[in-house]
Amino acid sequence: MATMTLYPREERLAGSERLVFNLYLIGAVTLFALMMLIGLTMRMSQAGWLGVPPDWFYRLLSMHGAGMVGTMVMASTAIMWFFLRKYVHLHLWAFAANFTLFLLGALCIIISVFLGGYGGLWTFLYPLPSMGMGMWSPGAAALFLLGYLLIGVGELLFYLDAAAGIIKVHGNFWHALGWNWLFGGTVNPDHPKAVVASTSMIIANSLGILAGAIVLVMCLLHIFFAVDLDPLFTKVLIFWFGHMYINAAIYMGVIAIYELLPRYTHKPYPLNRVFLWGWAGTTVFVVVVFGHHLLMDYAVPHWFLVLGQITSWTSGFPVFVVTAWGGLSNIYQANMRPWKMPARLMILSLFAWVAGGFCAVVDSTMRFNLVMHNTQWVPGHFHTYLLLGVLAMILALMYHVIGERRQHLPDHGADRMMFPVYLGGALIFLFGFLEGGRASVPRRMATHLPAWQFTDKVGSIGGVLVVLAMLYFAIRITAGLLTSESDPPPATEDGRVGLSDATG
Amino acid sequence: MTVQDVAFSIAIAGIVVIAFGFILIISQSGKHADEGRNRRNVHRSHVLQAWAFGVLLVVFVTGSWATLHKLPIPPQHQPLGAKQVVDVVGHQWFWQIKPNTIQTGSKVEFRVTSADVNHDFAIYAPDGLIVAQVQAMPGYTNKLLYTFSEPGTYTVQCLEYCGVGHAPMRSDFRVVNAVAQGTRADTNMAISDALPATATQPATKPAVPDGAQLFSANCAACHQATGTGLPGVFPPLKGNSVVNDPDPTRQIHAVLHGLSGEVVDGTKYAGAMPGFKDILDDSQITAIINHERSAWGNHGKPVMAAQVAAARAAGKQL
Repeated sequence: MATMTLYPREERLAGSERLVFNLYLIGAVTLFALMMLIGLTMRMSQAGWLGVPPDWFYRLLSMHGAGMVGTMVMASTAIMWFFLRKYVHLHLWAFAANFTLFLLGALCIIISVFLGGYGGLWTFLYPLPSMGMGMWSPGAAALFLLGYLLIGVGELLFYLDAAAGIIKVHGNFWHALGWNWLFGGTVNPDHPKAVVASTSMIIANSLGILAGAIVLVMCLLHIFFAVDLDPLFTKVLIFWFGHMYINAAIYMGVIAIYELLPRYTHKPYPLNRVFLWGWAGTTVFVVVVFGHHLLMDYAVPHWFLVLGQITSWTSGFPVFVVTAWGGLSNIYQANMRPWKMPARLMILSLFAWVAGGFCAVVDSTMRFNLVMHNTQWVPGHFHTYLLLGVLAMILALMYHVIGERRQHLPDHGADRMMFPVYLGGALIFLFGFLEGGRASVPRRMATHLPAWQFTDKVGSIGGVLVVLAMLYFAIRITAGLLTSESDPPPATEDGRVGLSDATG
Repeated sequence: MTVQDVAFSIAIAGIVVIAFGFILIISQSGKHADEGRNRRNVHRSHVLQAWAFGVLLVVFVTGSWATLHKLPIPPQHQPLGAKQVVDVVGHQWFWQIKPNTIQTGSKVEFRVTSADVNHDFAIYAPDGLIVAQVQAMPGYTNKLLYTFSEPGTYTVQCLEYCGVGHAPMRSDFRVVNAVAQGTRADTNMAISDALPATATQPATKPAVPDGAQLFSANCAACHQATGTGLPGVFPPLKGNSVVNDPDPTRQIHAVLHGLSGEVVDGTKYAGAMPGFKDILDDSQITAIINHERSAWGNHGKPVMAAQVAAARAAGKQL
């Protein structure tokens, strides 16, 4: 099971590993802050408080969507690497190559948007990228798609290296996932949860990335060689890729909770059969659930749409009944006061994941989707589990790491002050979207009718608070990461060992 | 209570329950439990976890049956037997909706497709809430069934991002109280007889196209209702030298065949304008042009339908 030593020796980073890891995290907080500023600009424009012309609005929306999704996955990949390397051998070159390709891909996207005028959004829904109606050139669209390809190849390289490491230690994916214990046998409580989660995402997200690679190449062929594509088939592949990719961010990010939470509660968090069943379900559901993006495409075989609704509902079981339940059980009567920032962020992330997931379940119900599809309900629910869920998981690891660098648990007065600004701002921001969804305010729209602007204004106010908090976090974490370790090695806080059978 | 209200209430209620659970557990986190108590807590947690799973399983099964036993999506590959059929085509950035008047009380089959990129045909009731929607995909015709119970003017808004003109891609149709039972032809005939004819209805008697309405439905997405266009992207029509030119040849040609990369009054515009020769007839194009020539302080000489017809016959060469 995960160690309860706060800062175990095997997690210490030095030399090139520390450099690459720092690049990931500093890159992430910087990009998060920039993408949030773009997002706030759009919300204020919708509110009528800024006058962003529609062509620029859609460029910004393209950058925000692609930038946030890419950065979330990049950062949660760092989480996966940070913990998985303790259990299996990972090559630094693969980790570094992923970051390099991410940067190159991001550069392609930035150039295509800000110089090429690309405004076809992250979804690049065929045939829109080649029908910009003068707003962008086919070359700009192609550069955007190339950027995606580079980022996907980088992630795939990292996964292949991780897969090789896992198979070397555990023999095969079956054992790595713990499926040999699903129906019987004594579960090894020390089997790392990080290995289970990592293996699950290596399988699922590799499939999604392959689907993405296929459709990206198809779209490039269309742009350069006028090859006609089937719009429904390309849409299916696009959403398989996109849905899987952003979900991988959550399922990689949660590794931080499995590894870190017991260190702050001083209660063990062992593996058990329920956990393994939860992740087995997740591995299957997450691959086939993307039909919920296509509920209004009636040409899709209806059995697939029904599968989309059903697996959307069942996906909630592992999240709530296994992971959130396990996290809450771990903090129950754990003598945790005073709470530290990593623990606050981890529990917040679990709440947001469950709450946002519940809103997602509502939207993925066909009867509701009929009136809520493509309204602001959609960004309402996914911002809940991304802004307060995945981001909080990432920040939790970052705070934990800077605590190690500074040799004391991170919990400044400023941290305690900015946490409610982050939480409160996000709740106001999210309410703006969810109420907008209830009021049938469309998503992805540059100009809003006056009747729609009240919730835009509410959302903008919340967004200002969120951006302020993020700017603080970015500076705090960057400064903390760049602090050098002093010799001798930092004192580690020994957890209270010996408590057994905490639920996981 | 609307469907949206039900969904919102369920979501908020769920979030409140979840938040309550978290707050309860967090409030206990500062307490200390010895080893014996910890063991009892673990056991109780396992029991509650099993109960939670059971309750959620029941909710899942009943909820799935309740929402799926009668699929809200109509079959796509068999006749739907609707008395009223409306053909919808989405374009960048306007809707073609024929007929644009519907009766209450009987099923309407919307056959929705797109001529170019993905759009989303979303029907907004007069109260501003969506009542139904379906994607408009090029190469596919999606069939949406809906029965209107309240008369009024319903707005169609594109909800699938389709380019810079996405937001103003709006149209409307009228729903009137049922006037007669009968076949589709009889129904459409009855609607036509009951109302003043408009340019987008299948005409059973001569109709005078409403230029302002046609402009709003077909042109305002780019040139804006105010005629001011979008700087650098779509040219303004207000004060436009082509619109005010006594010779309407260039203006007629633009509406018929479209334009791209054009320099207008010294400014180059990036946006591409589609041609409307296959979408609007001569009388409709005439009405639009005359609206543009007289609105926003413009003072262009009115054109005749015969001039548009002659330009159409002359083809694309200027």
